[in-house]
Amino acid sequence: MSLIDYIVVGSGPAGAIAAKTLVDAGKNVTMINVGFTPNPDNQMLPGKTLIDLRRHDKDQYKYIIGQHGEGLAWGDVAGGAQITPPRQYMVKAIDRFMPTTSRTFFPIQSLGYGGLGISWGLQCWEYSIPDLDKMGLDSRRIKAAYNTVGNMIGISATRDEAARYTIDELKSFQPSVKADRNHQLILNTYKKHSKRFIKKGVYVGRTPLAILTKPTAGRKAYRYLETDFYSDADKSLWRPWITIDELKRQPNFKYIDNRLVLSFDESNGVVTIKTLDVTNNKIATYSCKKLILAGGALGTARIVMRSQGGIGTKVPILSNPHSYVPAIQPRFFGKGYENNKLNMGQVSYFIDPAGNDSDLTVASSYGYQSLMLFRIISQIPFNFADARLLSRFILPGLIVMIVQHPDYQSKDKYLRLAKDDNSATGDKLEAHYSLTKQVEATWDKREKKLTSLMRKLWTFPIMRIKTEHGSGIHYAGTLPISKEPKPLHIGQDGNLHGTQNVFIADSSGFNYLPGKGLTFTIMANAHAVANKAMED
Amino acid sequence: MIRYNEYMIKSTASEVDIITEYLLNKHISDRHVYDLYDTILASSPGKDERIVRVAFSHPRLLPFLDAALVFVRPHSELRRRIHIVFSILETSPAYSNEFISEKVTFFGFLALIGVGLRGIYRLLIGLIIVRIGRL
Repeated sequence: MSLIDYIVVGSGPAGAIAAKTLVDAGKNVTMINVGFTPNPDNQMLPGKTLIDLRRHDKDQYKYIIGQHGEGLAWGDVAGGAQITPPRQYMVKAIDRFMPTTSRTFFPIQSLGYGGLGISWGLQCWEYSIPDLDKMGLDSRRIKAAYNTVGNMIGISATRDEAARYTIDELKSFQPSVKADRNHQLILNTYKKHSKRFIKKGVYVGRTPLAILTKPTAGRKAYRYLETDFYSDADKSLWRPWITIDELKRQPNFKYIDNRLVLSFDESNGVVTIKTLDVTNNKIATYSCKKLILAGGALGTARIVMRSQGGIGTKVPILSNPHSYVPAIQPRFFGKGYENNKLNMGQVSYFIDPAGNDSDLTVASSYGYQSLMLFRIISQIPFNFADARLLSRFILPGLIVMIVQHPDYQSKDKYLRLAKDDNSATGDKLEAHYSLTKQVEATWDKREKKLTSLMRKLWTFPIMRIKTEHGSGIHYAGTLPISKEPKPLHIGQDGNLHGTQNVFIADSSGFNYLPGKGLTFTIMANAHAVANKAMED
Repeated sequence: MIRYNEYMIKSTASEVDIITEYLLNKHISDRHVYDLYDTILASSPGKDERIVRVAFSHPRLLPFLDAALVFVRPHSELRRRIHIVFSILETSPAYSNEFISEKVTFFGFLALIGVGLRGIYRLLIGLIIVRIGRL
């Protein structure tokens, strides 16, 4: 068995960026991953506008509600709307290979090609230096990495009043995607009254997104097809698989799929990993000089706990508490369908009571139109027939905000790997997550403050929907960063304590989770960790 | 209003016809909608509820029962089946225009106020039916 120079485990945002960093530096890299791919029947979305498809395409049900109705949710469901039928391969076989039991924590995990990046909302918010320090990261290295990663994936943004919260350090970016009429109203109204908002510690601005507005390196500029939740056909929206597909063309990169990494062992400077072939349940091993784990905070924690004797030991978990806030803009009622609009988050809202860009509550708002009526119709307190007529009238004035709060370690949030003979891996994660009443009250107060201020932007929140913990895919902190060499902890440089050649490139090390989405920082950290692995 | 005999009521096609007539005020005869409804129900069969049988054997009651269930049992099997047909129709080119927002005129707005009032009327009558029929 030949010795591989670098093995990267996982194909999500962290794995893609870590691998690209190494490959660009000329290193020989093998990516090992389960990497389930889309069902070909669900991927035949033609490159037309959604409205055109809705009026003419007989096969549209396949990618909107699924061939067996798998895209239909029934009951008290909040969140997960972005995992549309063409993207459901993202969560394939999770119960079999990554089982989790909990009454309080319901994470979305992925073994798909591209990991959780398959349905990432594309927001690229930089974290502030105080936040990066609290997380245990090297703020100088991460700030520098934001620019490198920004160039790798392509970001569109605007340097507006909220830019200090979004693109503080970013030097190179493309112009923002055009805002739709709902968000134009919010931005224009905010511009007129911004002093009043800033006085209350609330800043509003365009959301930086990993979307190209100018064609770059084989990827097209965003075409406003409105199919963002169903297709990545133009590659104008960055997804990890785009980068990995490019790497596959490089001679110093190899991709091995259908392998679930179970554990590793390091001796005499060689790291050997044990994998399970998910197609036939056979075990295979690979050896390398350096191992970079990027399987996500839960996936990586499983591997490390199995490898370092951590079965039964509690490890922490962080997850952004979040709520959905549907809001209406009555001036757009009855205005009809708006063609050619963006569906991803368009405007960001930062609640910064202390004014120090730390411990923020952050919201982002989306147009609802492309998610269609069937996803919300059962929530409207009318019979279906009348609700349909009323919703067609209201829909042009409906937006949805996602409000996210920061999260801290506590003894009430933990995971534990337990034996489970029924699972393919012989174990399962047990999770517990709860917030104190005091914390819940603080977040509640902030949400009320935001909803009250939204009314001044001619946008009227109609309800607040609390979501289940973990369901927002924003979780981290299972193997905290520690200066002390402790088991199940990592160093600031990403090196796993107790090892010399094992590095963690995903969010497992974060000691604190800011309210802003973490994916851009995961990628910046992966870049920094890959560089560190090359230095050692 | 279509008349249904016992045989027809047993078929899912007639369920689709009843629900479609209720939702869109149209009678359809569309193989694609019937087949997809069958496929989805086969993938996730629901509970056997008496109110489902009542609704499909007395289609005129459907708007009232649906309205009442919004508050009595919002996740009932009857509403789930209506929701499935709703989703299929919304994603079928032949009916998608019935779901896509259009500009509303002043008179259209007045008609919508009527729709709102009709919804309240259906709710009140529906609650009485559910109560008396112990559904």
